[in-house]
Amino acid sequence: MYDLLVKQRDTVNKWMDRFGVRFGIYKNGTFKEQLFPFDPIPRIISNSDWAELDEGLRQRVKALNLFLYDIYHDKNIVKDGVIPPEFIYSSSGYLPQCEGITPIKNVYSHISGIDLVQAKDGTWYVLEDNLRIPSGASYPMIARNITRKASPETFQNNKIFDNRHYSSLLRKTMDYVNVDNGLEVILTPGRYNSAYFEHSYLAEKAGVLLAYADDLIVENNMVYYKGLFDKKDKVGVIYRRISDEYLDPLVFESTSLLGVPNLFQAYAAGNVAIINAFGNGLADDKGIYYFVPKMVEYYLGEKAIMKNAPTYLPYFEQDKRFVLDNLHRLVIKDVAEAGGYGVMFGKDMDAAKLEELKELIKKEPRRWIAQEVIDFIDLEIIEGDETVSRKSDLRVFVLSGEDTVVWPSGLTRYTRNPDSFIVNSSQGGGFKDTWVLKK
Amino acid sequence: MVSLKANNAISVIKANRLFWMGRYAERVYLALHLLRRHYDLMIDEDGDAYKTFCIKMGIEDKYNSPEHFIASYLYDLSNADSVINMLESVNDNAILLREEIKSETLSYIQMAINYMKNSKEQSRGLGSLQYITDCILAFWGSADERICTANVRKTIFFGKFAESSDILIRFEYPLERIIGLLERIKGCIDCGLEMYNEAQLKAYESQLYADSYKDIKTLSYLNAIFSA
Amino acid sequence: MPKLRYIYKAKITFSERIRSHSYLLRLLPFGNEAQRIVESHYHIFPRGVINKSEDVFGNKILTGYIDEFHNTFEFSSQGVLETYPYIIHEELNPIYRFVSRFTKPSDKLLQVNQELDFTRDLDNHEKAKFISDKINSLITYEGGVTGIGTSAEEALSLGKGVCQDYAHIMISLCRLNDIPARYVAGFIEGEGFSHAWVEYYEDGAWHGYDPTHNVKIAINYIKIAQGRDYGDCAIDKGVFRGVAFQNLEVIVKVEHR
Repeated sequence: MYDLLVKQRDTVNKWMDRFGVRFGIYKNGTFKEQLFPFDPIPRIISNSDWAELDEGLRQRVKALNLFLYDIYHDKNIVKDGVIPPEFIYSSSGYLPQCEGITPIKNVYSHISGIDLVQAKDGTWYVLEDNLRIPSGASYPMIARNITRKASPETFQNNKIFDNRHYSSLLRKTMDYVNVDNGLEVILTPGRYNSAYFEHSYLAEKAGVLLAYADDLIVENNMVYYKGLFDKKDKVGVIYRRISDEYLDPLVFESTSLLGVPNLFQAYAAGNVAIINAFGNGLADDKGIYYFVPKMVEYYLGEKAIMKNAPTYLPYFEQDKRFVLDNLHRLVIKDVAEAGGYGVMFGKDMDAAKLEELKELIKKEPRRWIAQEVIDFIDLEIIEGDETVSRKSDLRVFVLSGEDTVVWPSGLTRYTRNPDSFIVNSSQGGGFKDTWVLKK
Repeated sequence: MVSLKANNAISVIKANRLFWMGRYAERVYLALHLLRRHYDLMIDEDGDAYKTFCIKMGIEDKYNSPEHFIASYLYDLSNADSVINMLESVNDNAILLREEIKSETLSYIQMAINYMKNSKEQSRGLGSLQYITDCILAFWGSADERICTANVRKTIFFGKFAESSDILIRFEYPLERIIGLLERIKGCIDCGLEMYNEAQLKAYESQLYADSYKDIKTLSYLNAIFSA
Repeated sequence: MPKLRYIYKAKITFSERIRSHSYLLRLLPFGNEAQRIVESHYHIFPRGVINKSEDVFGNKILTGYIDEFHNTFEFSSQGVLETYPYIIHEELNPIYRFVSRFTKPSDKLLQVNQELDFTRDLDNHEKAKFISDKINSLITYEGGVTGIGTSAEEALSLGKGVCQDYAHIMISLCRLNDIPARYVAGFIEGEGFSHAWVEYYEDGAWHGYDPTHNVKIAINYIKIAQGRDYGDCAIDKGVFRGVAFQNLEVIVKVEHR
């Protein structure tokens, strides 16, 4: 299917280089931009698999949006005993400041990145929901642009859904919540952010302004873009690529230089839409993850289509006993960490380390979740002239605006290290294009 | 509901980046152009022609031989005056302007840098740098072709013509050429581009028509026209 | 009922001119069953456009943006309150039961908590007193040792601190013992600075405790801000463009009328 494309891989890499498809990383404290390694063999998803994912992910994201609204308003899901209050109030992602605030058109998670893996029996599992600022959509977009140029025959011979319209989906999502037809901006922390390439590429392709914190001011609860000669343009929607705690130094982290002072007040007054909304970190929480299938049933009255990886919460006494007894074969995650950090595999730990971890779990059960290690499908990658197998995952992007839409592609990441299970790009993996077949 | 307004807003920082990207890109182009002419003299007529080049360019002559000059002035990243550093300056600005100038325009700068950093090419000296000239010309073509927002495009070309005026004055080009560039600067700013100082522009213009336009004062007027 | 007149005056002097100054101020007193507002005024200069709103903790906030250059920033608040016994009936917001940034316990606090050993049958009033006594046996009042970013755990380890630290430690210990507790910033009688104390929840109402003076609050404490910890209650927060040293002068005066 893709042999012709693989033959063109030097051409593809030249184009990648030319377009500066880079990913920033910090090594020993210094910032380096390096090419984001691209493997030409695509991940291929059959049309029938996709139909199920499409339905399941729309359902999941709808439930997550309803959950966020509920938590920041009536909290029925807590009152009805589905989720213990500790999981809400002691989550670092829960922001009490958001209580009672309804975002524009009641959308919380405009852009959701759901991380999936496929087990050897073909079942797809959700590993993580990313509802804050999931990154990565730009890479398959530009990769497709390049691979189509490098090997047109490949795309003639295979019927594959195009994925280059991600930027127009993004633009539609921004248009939908834009307040009073104001300016539309992507707010970036700047060049030294690992995803700066993506910020500027999406701004270019969506035709919106790329703004830095200094460009925006809040006056009279309105957000303005500060142009030349103190000209001020009202901003209607901000797709921010800065996390909650740094976004408004007067409400959150005071020392943040990346944020826009009093942005929160403008947001609370309904004068600007923020993509994604403040306070979404709660739904990202690895502890809350456990409850997502229950949310689907609670809010939608439907059985959850997407499966979670089998997960145990040491918070529950029964689960704790199970986790302590089976620690050696489980994967343990610290709920406070992200980006592949704070993930430990029982099988890699010696007896002393296991004991140490057991003590930590007993001391702070709420801080940990444990999961079965799923035996997932490895994907082939080209290394030199050989084809080898590597662990990989898939981040699918779901956009919520007037409708909930699943982008028919996704970011497939793979590990470069053959023994590694962690495919996060912050830890130096590569990426693949993701093909969804039309038939 | 497409808000076209979006693309017209420019912050002060962005205006400066556009202008200086234009200046540095033109500096790369003209440095290579003038270098070729001086290098031609160095082949069999005047081995020290590079010294004249340094004086006119207004850079320090810190080179101990013609060979050292070529190697260092072209490729040495630790030499602040080097062509590769000019390119880095173009790139530092361009990378922060991707969404304004478009990925394709930016790609010519990326290509130039990747090429110049390749040691195989470096060993070939000045001869191989026609490729850089080609990239810069493609960059200008792409900028003109693809940047629809007038004030963005014109700010870049304002920088370009300001830089070429500066260098052409230094290299004592005939007055008509300098006047011609002034007309092109005016073409960039008379369309409501507010980022220039009218008094300085007038001062510069009358200075050109005075006898001593090769004066250092001309350059100081020229370089004060841009103001954002 | 007693009437109190309060004056709060603050002035920030910048060593260089600054601009693009955004601020968020919590200057205005609460109106509740322990303090009724008779009159209340505020003054901000330069002011920019001021927006008045309420944050999620119920605090009145004033936000604004000053575009032009300035060397000084003044803000003041004054008025008259009628005060009543310090009991505030209110439905409990669960956020005050859980750890917050400045009150997160670690080894030292957990150890002190074990020493408290509340196995006997005590109500929250009695427990609050025990906790405050305990804190006063462990730390001494000393200014300049801790700062606005010091956590309860850090202050306890230092064994020194000011009202903010006393309050954080008390809140942390209360919450460890399932006593909902919150941080309060405000003014007390006399002349000096702003003060901080604690409210704990018992029997459908909030009660005041001042761990710095080791006393249950009866009356005449003027509440300006409340929240999970200091982070929610700062009187003034600002961000500006420019490089300058800042010098803050504050006068607080509260007297009977």
